[in-house]
Amino acid sequence: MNEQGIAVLSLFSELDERYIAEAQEEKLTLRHRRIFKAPFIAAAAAAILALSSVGAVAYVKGWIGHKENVEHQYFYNKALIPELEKRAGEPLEFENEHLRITVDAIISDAVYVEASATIEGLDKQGKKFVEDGITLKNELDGLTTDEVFGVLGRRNSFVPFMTAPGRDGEIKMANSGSDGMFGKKGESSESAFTIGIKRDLFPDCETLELTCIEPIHAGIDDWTPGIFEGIVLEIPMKRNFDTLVLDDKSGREVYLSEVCFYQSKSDIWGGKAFDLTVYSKDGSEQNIRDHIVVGEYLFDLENVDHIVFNGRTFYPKELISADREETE
Amino acid sequence: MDDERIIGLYFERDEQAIAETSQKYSSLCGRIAMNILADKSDAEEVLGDTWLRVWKSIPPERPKCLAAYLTVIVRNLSLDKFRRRNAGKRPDTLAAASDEAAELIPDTVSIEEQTERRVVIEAVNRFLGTLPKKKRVLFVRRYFYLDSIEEIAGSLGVSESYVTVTLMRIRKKLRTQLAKEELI
Repeated sequence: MNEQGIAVLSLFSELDERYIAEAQEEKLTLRHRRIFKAPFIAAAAAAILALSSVGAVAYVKGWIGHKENVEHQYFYNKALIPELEKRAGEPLEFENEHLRITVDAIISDAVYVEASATIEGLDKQGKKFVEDGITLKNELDGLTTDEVFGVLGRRNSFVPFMTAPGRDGEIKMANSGSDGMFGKKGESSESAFTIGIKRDLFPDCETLELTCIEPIHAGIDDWTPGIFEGIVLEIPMKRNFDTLVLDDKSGREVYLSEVCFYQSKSDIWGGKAFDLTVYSKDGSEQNIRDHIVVGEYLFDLENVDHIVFNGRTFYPKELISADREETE
Repeated sequence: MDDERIIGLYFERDEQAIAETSQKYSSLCGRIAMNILADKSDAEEVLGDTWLRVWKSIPPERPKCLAAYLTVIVRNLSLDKFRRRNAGKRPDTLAAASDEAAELIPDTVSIEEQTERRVVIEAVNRFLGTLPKKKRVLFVRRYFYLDSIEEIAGSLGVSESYVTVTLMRIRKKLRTQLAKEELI
């Protein structure tokens, strides 16, 4: 029996009774809400249609939170959004009194996980923090080039630094960029960013916990200490896109998922040279040069015959399927 | 019946006060007792002692918050009973909470004397006053009400790991503050 612990707990009988009453009465507003599960949507839609009068049309919200922001993130491939709407899962909210971060959509294959997120200011401090990280296009109108660079140079970033427990202790996560000229100011202060996670760093992880840390821990001046305090994102690591493992018959493997290509599990983007041609069973071929980003293309893996990457030919070896859930 | 009227019954020495208190607060006080004792008959015994203690103390006491007043009494009585028990199941919740609480004040520091207790608890209350309400509620639910991590997470709609990590951080900060004030 931990006598000292019991003694300390006994001491806490003398806590301020305001706090005792407060804990009993109040519910925290920190939310981890699950919004609009697919079966619920189907049932809700059916219920609405059953009750609606002739000619009425039921509108059911899609799965993606802040759809406009996700569309902005993946502006280069409009075909991606309907696919995400089918498989993105549920938007997840995490907040403290200053900020709310919503994980709006997740693209997840066997190599990489990319989450598209929205950050919103909730109180005066949070709104200012978000707005300080955005420079809207209309704010730059009329400025000279030097003035524009001056404004952008001073701009702070609203994207949090995050740590996650990896194999060898905590690992600092480098989030991919945000568009600092996209967002809203005023009554609703918000913008969007993406979080990129290499699966290789977190093997067998079902839910990755990303703890927001203060910039000073990443070697950057801390202009808003404590702004992210208490925010821990929980990223489900289930795969929602299939991945084809290909090898060149000498042991080297590359990975082609429905949404991206990776040169290896650890060095996923590889060196600068990038020349990929995907040859399909139906005789068609698709050539991509220079680089590829997640979601830029949608690959039909069932139709892949072989690929040639930087002069080497790779053949399908194994299909790692997405973790699919039953829906009605 | 509202708390002011219940307290009024105590002052009038109307035994209906006990019935009203029991009806309104059995669930809350029972939960605290069970969290500590994990034994229904012991918890019921403590509840009975609690109503008696309240009957004897009001008046002259006139609690500002009856719920808080009751929970302090039931908690103290439960912990006293727990200490006196030679054998019996040690609830996992209490075991875990006591292990966590022990991190705050090392056993080289005595908190038995009234003066020492007052100084430390004043510092803890000051610290709690600096916390955002959400974190304060988390702390009090765990270390006063002795709710399990699972219960706290479930009722507040957050993950268990969030509760665990947040509590760990609060304990660390509190310990730092107590050290800064040279109390530990």
